[in-house]
Amino acid sequence: MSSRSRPMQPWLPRVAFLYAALLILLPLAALAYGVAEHLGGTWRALTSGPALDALSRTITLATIALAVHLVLGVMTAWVVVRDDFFGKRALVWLADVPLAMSPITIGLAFFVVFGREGWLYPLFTQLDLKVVFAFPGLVLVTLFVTLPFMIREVVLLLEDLGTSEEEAAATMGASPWQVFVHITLPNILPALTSASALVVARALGEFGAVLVIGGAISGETDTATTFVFHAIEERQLPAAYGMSMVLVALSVAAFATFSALRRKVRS
Amino acid sequence: MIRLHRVSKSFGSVRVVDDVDLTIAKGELVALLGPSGGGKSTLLRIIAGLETADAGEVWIDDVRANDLEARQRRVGFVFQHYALFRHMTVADNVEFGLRVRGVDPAERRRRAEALLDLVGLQGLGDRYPSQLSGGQRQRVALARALAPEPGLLLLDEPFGAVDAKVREELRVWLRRLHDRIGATTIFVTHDREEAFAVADRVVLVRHGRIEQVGTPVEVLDEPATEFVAGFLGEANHFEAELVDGMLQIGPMRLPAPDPTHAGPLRVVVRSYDLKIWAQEPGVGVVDRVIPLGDRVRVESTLDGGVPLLAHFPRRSSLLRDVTPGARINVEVTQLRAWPAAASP
Amino acid sequence: MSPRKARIALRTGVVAWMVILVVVPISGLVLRALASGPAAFWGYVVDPVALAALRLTFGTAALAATINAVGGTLIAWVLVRGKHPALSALVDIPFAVPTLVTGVVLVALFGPQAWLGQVLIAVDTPIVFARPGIVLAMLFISLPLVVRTVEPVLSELDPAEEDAAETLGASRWQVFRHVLWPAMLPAVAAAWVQTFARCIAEFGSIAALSGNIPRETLVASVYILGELEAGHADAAAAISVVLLVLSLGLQPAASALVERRYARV
Repeated sequence: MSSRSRPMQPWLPRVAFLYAALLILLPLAALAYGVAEHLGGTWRALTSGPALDALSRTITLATIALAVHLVLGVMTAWVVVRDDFFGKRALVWLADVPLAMSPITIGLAFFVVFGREGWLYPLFTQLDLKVVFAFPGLVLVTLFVTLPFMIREVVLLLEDLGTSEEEAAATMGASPWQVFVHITLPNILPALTSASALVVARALGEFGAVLVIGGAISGETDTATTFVFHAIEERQLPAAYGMSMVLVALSVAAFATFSALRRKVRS
Repeated sequence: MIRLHRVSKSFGSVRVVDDVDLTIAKGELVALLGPSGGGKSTLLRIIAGLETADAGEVWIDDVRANDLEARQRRVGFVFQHYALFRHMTVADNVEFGLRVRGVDPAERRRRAEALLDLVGLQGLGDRYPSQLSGGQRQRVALARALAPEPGLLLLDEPFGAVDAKVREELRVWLRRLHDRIGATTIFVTHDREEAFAVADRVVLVRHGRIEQVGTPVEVLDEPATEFVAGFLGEANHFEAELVDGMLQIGPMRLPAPDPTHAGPLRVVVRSYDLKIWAQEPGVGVVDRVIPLGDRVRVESTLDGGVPLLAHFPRRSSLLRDVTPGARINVEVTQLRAWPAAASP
Repeated sequence: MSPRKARIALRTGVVAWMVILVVVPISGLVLRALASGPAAFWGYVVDPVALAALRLTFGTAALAATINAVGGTLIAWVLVRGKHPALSALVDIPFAVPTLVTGVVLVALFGPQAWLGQVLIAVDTPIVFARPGIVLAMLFISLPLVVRTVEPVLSELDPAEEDAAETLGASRWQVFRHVLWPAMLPAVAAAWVQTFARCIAEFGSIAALSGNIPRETLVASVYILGELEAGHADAAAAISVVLLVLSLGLQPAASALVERRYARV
């Protein structure tokens, strides 16, 4: 039984809703309105070569980021929580660094290291791998900006879960790998689903860093966001609004999908 | 003086307080006793003004209090889990009621210290609640509630969160405190020993209704309903029929207390209102004999499958030969009967 | 492979991964900032346009953090004490919107070609291509951050303490001031700090709607981009390092605040 059956003062929810509605619903409505206004040109614009190319590139980047972090992020989180060695705390701290950085700074940092004056440039030129103004650069910055999410969520959950289940499994004869697959992994699924949604949304929305490292070269390093940017600059509103809507829809779909997955896992 | 007239309260579709009438005299120490979830706490909160009744009237000292907010009712409330302000010192906690009324700091400090003395926590004013034990915290909660000199003191399962030994000490101490201060006090508990040990009168509450009000002796010896009889002690509940002016309970025939009740009956016999002794052929058989310190618990089954529970003092001569498997005879020294009505 | 070897391999792999992905770029950035020596570094920082950009960035971020600290806390309170799934979903929306899109949409809403924008120009308070727009964009993107930081702490508050204060005679304002506020303060402060750190780094939304007028509406991130495009990578790196150091310094402060259970007031 709740200990407080008396409702909070009525003005509180009203003001809260008003603030949220004005700040968030209004722009969202404007977006929908903008799309609707230019609906005719939107379909044509979105199915054009450059648009599809940019969108597919963004989706590829998001997929790569998710795949990489599901493996390496979980590994990192595991090492942070379950292992012990000098400098372990530094790992946690490093994982949070991307959150403190402006996207432009992120792009700049990779540009400086891999660009023509950068100290990794000779190495990569030898490998015949172009990073700056090329797809690999986009991959690197996308991995960078999405790094913290998986690690944080999994670290929190692993700490909460404790080791008792894993220890019990070990006493029953399971190898470390078996413990991980049959005990740890199922237990951290909630964190994986939440973080996956965040990773995908962040990757879809990345703009500043891909702009700097990639140069937004149409057909080569144009992403959905830089596509929108170009479209705005060239006053091509149907394309801009259309792609914006697609990005928002994809992010929302990602949240919804992983949310549903999480619920399914729980049952 | 507190008067509740036809007070009801529902949470959603659940009727938590159901048409309650109750009067409490000035200076009384009253216990609201009953099983968990029975509406006792809600009733207390309605009196305090922390909940509003859906129907009925609440009168505090001849003033209709329904529309008065908690802060206007001059009620002291002690919560089950203390609800001390975690970020304030003990002294600040106790002073709080005085502070919000604008009492000046020196006077506040003086009264707080006097109260901390009264509850036996002198010198602990600068500690934080997290640094105190459960019993100490509860006493701070009491001191805090008493500081604004309320006319009415309400305690919601005040010793529920404290361990058994401390609970006993606090009970004694609460009674003494009440006798000293004389404020009208109502406390909620599900522990019948606690209610009997502390209160002048006991109010038995179940499913939001008052089953009986009376002194501990009254409710113990003259329970008004089957529930009261069963709740106040370990008891046997039997189904019985009136046959030739006698009560037929399984294989036993007992004189009926009130011959005019016809039809099926519910009979309650307290576990200490029975005598059992080994005898052939008897009316039942002993299942288990369990020593419980100063008492012995005897579990038996009457012929026909009816279970029987009896308690004896350890050294009772009746227990000779009462061993598992022995046939027994039974004598009932006191019973109460009610018509088997629809109530669960 | 023996368990011990596997563990060491895992450890090494993870450390290598983090070093390559994080340490290498950051060191590159810092080295580039100092490439021409500390004097030059300082020169880049005190450049008038750079300073103006930094001042503008910090000022607008502080304002946005303050406004959202109030609004976001209010929303978090309503979410914790009531049942409003719609509000909860609403609050998370900015996480799903690319920042560039936020900027685009705000321009569409408040820009000079929109009727709302024209009204604003008429009353001489333009939002787009002016400072208020920057604050507005920051408010949008940081609202979920405030709400989700404050929410867990608010849900741990004990309503019984408020009940107790009421029975002791406190008015609603007194209950807030003496019981609720001290308990909320650390979380609200932590939210402020995190929001500030997030907002000083913001690029996409502001680039789209501020007009990027030097000294007027040019924020630090756009300034950095400008310097890079003009070939002054060193200067760009220098200002970047300033922002980075500030953000990194603020993070532990925020964590420490969140850990404190309550303020001793």
